[in-house]
Amino acid sequence: MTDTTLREKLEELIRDNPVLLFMKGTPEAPSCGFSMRVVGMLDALGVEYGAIDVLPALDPLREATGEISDWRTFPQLYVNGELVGGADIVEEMFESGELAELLGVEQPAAEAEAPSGNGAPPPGQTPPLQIE
Amino acid sequence: MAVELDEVRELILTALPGAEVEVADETGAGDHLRAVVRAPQFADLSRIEQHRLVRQAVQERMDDGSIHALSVKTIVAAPGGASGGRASDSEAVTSEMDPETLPDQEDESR
Repeated sequence: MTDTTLREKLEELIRDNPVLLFMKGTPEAPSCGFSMRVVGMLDALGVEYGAIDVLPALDPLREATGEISDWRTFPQLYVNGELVGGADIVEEMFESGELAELLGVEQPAAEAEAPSGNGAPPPGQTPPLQIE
Repeated sequence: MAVELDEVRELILTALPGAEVEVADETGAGDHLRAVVRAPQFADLSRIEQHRLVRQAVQERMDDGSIHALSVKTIVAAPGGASGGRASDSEAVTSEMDPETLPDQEDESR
């Protein structure tokens, strides 16, 4: 069984962060290609999001997210309290424009990755969240 | 600790009888797999529910570390030969498509 406190903490974070990414590593230094892809897409959309590095507590977090949303692999993207999916689903939705729509932002013109230096401000980003 | 592609395929087939399943080894190391699953059971399910069915089928092998990562692509198959119906003209190919032509799936992930 999952530690109830951890589960409650996660549910609170999911509720309180409109866009929340559970990932391996941090947005600045992703430790896994799948997490890196999702970070790249969120950054390309320029949305603000909270990020939780799951590596320090991988197994408990796996258990907890398994109970909360029946999903046990990372990354996991939550929007408005709902699990959107892992890297595959997020990527499909990014490419189709559904992700931009869900997040209420403009779909970037062309490039999937890294909007280049056109003077746009860097995407806002909240500091990584810590779970103790 | 690699896993046999056939075993993964069987696990998915057991969970989704009648599905068409392709499993590929993405890296050659046998632990980063890609599964393309076309199943009638996906009809009327949201994309995330479709993916859950596939992931649950192989959960054990992910938990024990034999599969480190699994990419999943799900496709709704028309019910084979059955009384026809709405699923047949709404195959939900969900990636590798021109965004302009993507079928309307807006409601599925809300």
